[in-house]
Amino acid sequence: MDQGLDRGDVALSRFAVGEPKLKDSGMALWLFPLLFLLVFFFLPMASIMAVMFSRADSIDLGQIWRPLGFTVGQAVLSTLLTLVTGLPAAFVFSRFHFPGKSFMRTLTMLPFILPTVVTAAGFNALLGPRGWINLALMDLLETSIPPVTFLNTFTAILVAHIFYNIAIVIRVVGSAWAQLDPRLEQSAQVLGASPSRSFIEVTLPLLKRPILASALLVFLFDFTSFGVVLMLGGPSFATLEVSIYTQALSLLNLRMAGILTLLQLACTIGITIFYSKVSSNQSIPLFPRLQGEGTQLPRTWMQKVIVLIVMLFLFLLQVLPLGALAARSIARMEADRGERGDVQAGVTLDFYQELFINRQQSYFYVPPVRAMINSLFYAGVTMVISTMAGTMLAYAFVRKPAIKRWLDALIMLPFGASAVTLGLGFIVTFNRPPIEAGTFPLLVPIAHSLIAMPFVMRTVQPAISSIPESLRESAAVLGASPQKVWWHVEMPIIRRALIAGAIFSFTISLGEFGATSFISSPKNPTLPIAIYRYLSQPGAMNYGQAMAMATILIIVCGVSVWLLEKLQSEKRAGV
Amino acid sequence: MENLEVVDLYKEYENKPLLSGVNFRVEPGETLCLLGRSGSGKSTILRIIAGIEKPDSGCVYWNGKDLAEVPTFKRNFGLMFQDYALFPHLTVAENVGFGLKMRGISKSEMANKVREALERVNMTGFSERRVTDLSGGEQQRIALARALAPRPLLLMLDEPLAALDRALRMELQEELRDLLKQTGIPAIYVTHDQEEAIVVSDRLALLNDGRIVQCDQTEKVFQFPSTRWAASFLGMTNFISGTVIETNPLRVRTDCGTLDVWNPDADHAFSIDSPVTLLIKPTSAGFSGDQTLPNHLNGLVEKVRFRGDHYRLQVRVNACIEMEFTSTIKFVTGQKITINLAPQDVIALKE
Repeated sequence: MDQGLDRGDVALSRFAVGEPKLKDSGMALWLFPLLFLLVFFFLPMASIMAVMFSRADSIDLGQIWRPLGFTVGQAVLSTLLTLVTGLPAAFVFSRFHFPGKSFMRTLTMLPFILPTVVTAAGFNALLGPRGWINLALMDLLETSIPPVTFLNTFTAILVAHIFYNIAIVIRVVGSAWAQLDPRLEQSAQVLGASPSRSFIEVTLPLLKRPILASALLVFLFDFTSFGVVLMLGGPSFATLEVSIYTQALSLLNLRMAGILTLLQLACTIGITIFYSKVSSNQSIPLFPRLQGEGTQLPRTWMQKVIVLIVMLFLFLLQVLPLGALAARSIARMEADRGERGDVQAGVTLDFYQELFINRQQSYFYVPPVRAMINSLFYAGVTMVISTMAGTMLAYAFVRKPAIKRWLDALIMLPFGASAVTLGLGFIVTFNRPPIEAGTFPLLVPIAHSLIAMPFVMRTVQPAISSIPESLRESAAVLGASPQKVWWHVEMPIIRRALIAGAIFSFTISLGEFGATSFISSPKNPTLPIAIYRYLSQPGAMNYGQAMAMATILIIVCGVSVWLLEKLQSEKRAGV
Repeated sequence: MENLEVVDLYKEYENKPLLSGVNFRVEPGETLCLLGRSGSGKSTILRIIAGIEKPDSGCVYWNGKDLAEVPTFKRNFGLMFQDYALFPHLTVAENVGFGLKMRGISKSEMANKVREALERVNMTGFSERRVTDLSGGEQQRIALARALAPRPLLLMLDEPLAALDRALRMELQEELRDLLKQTGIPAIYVTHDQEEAIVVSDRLALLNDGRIVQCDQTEKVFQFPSTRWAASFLGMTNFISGTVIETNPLRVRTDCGTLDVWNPDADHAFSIDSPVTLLIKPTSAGFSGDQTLPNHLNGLVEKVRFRGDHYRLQVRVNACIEMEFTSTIKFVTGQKITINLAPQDVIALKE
């Protein structure tokens, strides 16, 4: 960098204390997030280790290997199934355009940011003992025993994992595929390769990395799956993540929990490193092309059938559980407690009205409104912290690539370390005033921010790197001070990415379940925690309220995804 | 004899006609150049011949056989894309050998043929390099070697030099011409660059508005552009309208006097008193000042622009019509000159 410019920045830097824009205040840019990470991630991790060595709880090796084996096994199987279903969808999205395509794209993105409890509630509403299918079959067969057993089966875990992660395959592989120059395949065909041959010889090798990257990411999510396994798998299935939870909170065996945590951490770090290697070397020149150049309307009979089958599959996979959930939240199906016989089936808003009525019946009872307010507050704070910290980091990484090299991996750690680990670390570390889990109101949003920060950073960083230095320089030559340069030149360019990062972090916080289940106090739950509690309690009213709350979350997430997609398409259109 | 025939190709693109009845033939061993502005549908013609796109109507015949039902990979044509479309995951040798591999040729034979192909484009020693490490000119050669290696029946080149800088383009267009002649493979060469078209082609087809305006020996097209559009596209802009007063030899009365018009083949039929547009070629005009010779114009030099090895003169002829001429002699603005036109420099255009 030009020496003279650097000096100029120093001279001006007193006008801009703490503003993420000056090259020489670069240290502040990454120091704050790093301190944040040290206090709220590495300290808790160290505490877990300290607890592990200081406690004399019994160790049962079977309790280590069994969950490990199950975790790996289900993750491998889930990943393979997600690839098998996701790759055809990625193909269809990247090579064809058809009516309703953008709606379907948005739809597939929705589960990805949907809270696990909502997914669990959705499958519950569809296939659970009180779900639509069982209600219908019970009515048809005139029996009172639900004929379909889906909850608490291995199948439920696999289906939910596909539901969740198919979006990753579609996005990662699909976008690489869409960018792949169609001329490469055409060249192969002119040179004598049949369409299937040119797919094997040209397309597949070029997509190897994106496929591997998406598979690793899916594997990582499946490996650390918590809510899905806990709520849909039931007591007979335990991943490492679920085992940590039960060892720590039910069995109070913190030593075992610590060992399991370290084991999981080792695995996830390994996967994360492998993933960043695979994804960072993605420098295959895929000749960026005009958007949509390679897409066409499905013409042949075969193509139409493929597009139709894939879209139907996606629609059923995504819409059925969510639709069942929403429908269940406004349906009166069962007799109220204490009544038998005739049920007035119909549409009702009772469950929604009930959310706003305070019934102090039991100690564990928390008014749903309280949970909603908590969730919104936490999500708001998370949005502020993670957007600020993530943006600062993104600036630091762009300005000083050397920092990126070692800090990038550190930032990704909380992400790979899984939510339950983070939650456990928090309760063993912050257990006395002033920062005490359960009373300190910022602990939940801090945990959420650690999870959301990498997302914000990854969203904002490309926008910042896209600003050529000459733009800043010419603005400066035209008389703009550094803060004016930032406000009038950089800000409008990165604005869209900032908003996207903020929406992303807000939604992540809103749906976070694993860490929150540890650190939120019983009196101050978030919406997902409240849904979980209402789902596990008997009674039609509780079930209905859980459905109502989950529906509200779906709507909020749906709006977020729609906004994110809109920002994306604006960017593509160059608005 | 092997030949390609394209008959009445029609194609719409986004509801606008792109090709509106394209016809031409490619004879054995010849290089036909499709010259037209960008967006005139040149590349689409190649893609239709290769079978990548289907025309809305019209046919492509190889030796009289309709190719409509023959898929791209069975046509055995070569197509070189503008940005080469080299396979980024394969080495130079693997790229060049790709077509041979698809034809199931044995490994040792393939190695030989790949080496030959690389030799032919002067890229021996590059075989193990990654194509992504090559310069633009090197990539161009590899793309050419890849297209030639399977010995296609017909080679199509889509703006093969457009991505290169001018100096390299000049060098490679000569090479390309030699190579096409050596191999004897018939070729269709698409470009928007006249200079390139002149160097490379045997015959030239001018494309405008989805139709072929003129298709002839390259020299003939430049000597006798057939329409006003063709002439302007080739940079000739001196037009003058007149009335036929004699048909054999052709004489036309214009505002600048009566001119003898070159019409040796008598390929246009003209009738007395019919209106006609004449093209006055800007080149090879003489400035002897001899007013007794037929076909001379009197004018006033309005602008003189230096063009390296010649001057470009803007001349007001007979106080009314602006014309441009090239001259090796330097004139000054305001000078009165007499321009003597050679017989073949006055041409009657078709409407």
